[in-house]
Parts: sequence; C-alpha cells; structure tokens
Amino acid sequence: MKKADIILISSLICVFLCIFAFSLIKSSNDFDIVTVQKDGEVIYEGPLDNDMTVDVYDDEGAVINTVVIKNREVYMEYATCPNKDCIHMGHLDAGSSKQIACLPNGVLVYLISSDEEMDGISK
Amino acid sequence: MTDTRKITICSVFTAVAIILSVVESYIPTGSIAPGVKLGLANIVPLTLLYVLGPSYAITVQLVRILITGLLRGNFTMFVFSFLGGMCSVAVMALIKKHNLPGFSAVGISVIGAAVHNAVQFAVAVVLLNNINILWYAAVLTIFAVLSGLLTGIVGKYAIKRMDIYLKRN
Repeated sequence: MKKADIILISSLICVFLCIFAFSLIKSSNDFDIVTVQKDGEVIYEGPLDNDMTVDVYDDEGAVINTVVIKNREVYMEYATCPNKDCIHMGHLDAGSSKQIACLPNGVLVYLISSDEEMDGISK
Repeated sequence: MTDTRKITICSVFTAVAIILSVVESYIPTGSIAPGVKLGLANIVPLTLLYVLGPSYAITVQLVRILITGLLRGNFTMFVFSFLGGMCSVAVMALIKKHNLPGFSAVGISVIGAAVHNAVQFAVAVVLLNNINILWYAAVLTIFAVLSGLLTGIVGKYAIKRMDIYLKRN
C-alpha cells in the first residue's frame, strides 16, 4: 500500500464519519407522523400514536410489504424482497428521523414531525 | 499471450466472480447495517485490470452482472448492480490509466467500492424520490471504504500470483 492510498482511505473515512455525526445531531425533533411512500408517491400518512397495519400492494394487487405501527414505533413486518434488509432495519421511534427502505419494491417508510408537515403545506 | 489463453482466463475469472457473488449472499454482513456488502466480486475486475487490461475487466464485469442478475431474477436489483458495477469498473480503469496521485491496487479498489456505493445511492434517491435517505449513504460509504480495502488487499495478492504464474508458463 502506498502513501496516496492511506491518504485516500483516511480522508474518505473522516469525511463520511463527520457527515454521519452531523446527521445524528440533527435528529432531535419529535417525529410523530408516519409516511409510507411507493415509487415516490405517498400512499399513507398518519400519526404515530395510532396502532395499525399498512399493507403496500404492487400493480397486480398483491401485498409486497407490511408496515406495522405499534406503541409509538413503526417497523417493516413483511416484505417480498430477497434480502429482507428493510425488516432488518429495525424499529423507528419518535426521536428518529431515519427511514426504512425496501429498494427492490421501491417502498420507503419515514417519520416527519407535524410542524414540518405544516411547512410543507404552507409552501 | 495467445487469444485462447486470454479467453480461458476471462472465462475462469467470470466463473469465479459469479461464485463470489453467490458466496457473498450467504455472509450475513447486512446484520452490521442493512445494505452492507463485502463486494468480494470486485476482486475479479480489479485483478483483470492489472493482468489483461481494461477491456477484459469491463467485459467480464458485464457478463458477471448479467448472469447473477438472471440467477437472482429481481429486475430492480439488476438495475442497481448493473449501474453500480459498470460505473465502478469504468472509474477504476480510468484512474488506473491516468494514475496521477500514484494509487496502488488497494487505493483503486477503495475508489471502485466508493463509486459502486455512490452510484447505487444516486439510483435509490431517484427511485424512491426522496433525498433524505442520503444520511444513510454516509454509513454505507464508511463500510464500502473498509470492504474496498479488504478486497483491494486480496486483489493485490491475486495480481502478484497471476503475474508470477503467467511469467512462468
């Protein structure tokens, strides 16, 4: 390994660790609205307080993903995709601004805060 | 080197790359963070880049992605691996050709892994139509750099062995 390699590797890791750290600081708001998106279109939006199950269907009407909202947490319970990464992404709670993505099915679950939604409307 | 020999090396390397892709899917790296992969198949285009040259590396990568795409049978995932894999090998070939900072095979492997990751993230942003998922790109890029380092070191030894083998025979 040469000097240029070491500089490259250490600078890449430093830059992306900083970005990651920054994304952790930002997520201090209370995110209480669950949004489920398929292929870029919002198909469900509702409060995190309501315990319920949201099914996502493909074009033929078959269930491809099941999103569960329970005890102020949201998680992916079922997915037809091969890797099940979305299920392994775990639970999102009100303190997190993170997402659950199921790329093969084009499904994205994320939380927004109710204040943010107001901003979205006023725009 | 005769054409027959080049074709034979390419076919063996294609087979190795497909096997590495299959083996990789059984290693549960996704439990570290979802989407993390070792990128073992990246060893093959990297080694070929040094042993036979860019056109062979790109061709083998293309065939590998087409065949593993058929084996897996998910079109969205095929688009992901096609765009990520082809951009990765193209950038690795370009960097190797105009190697101004003097990267070794390890550095080129890290760049390849980072490009693979960045392109797939760009596709995900377009596909999901949501820019907020970019925070996760930072997490995955850190792992991509580490796995690129690992596959680069393996690739470095593979290149050395191939050179010795080709000189001897």
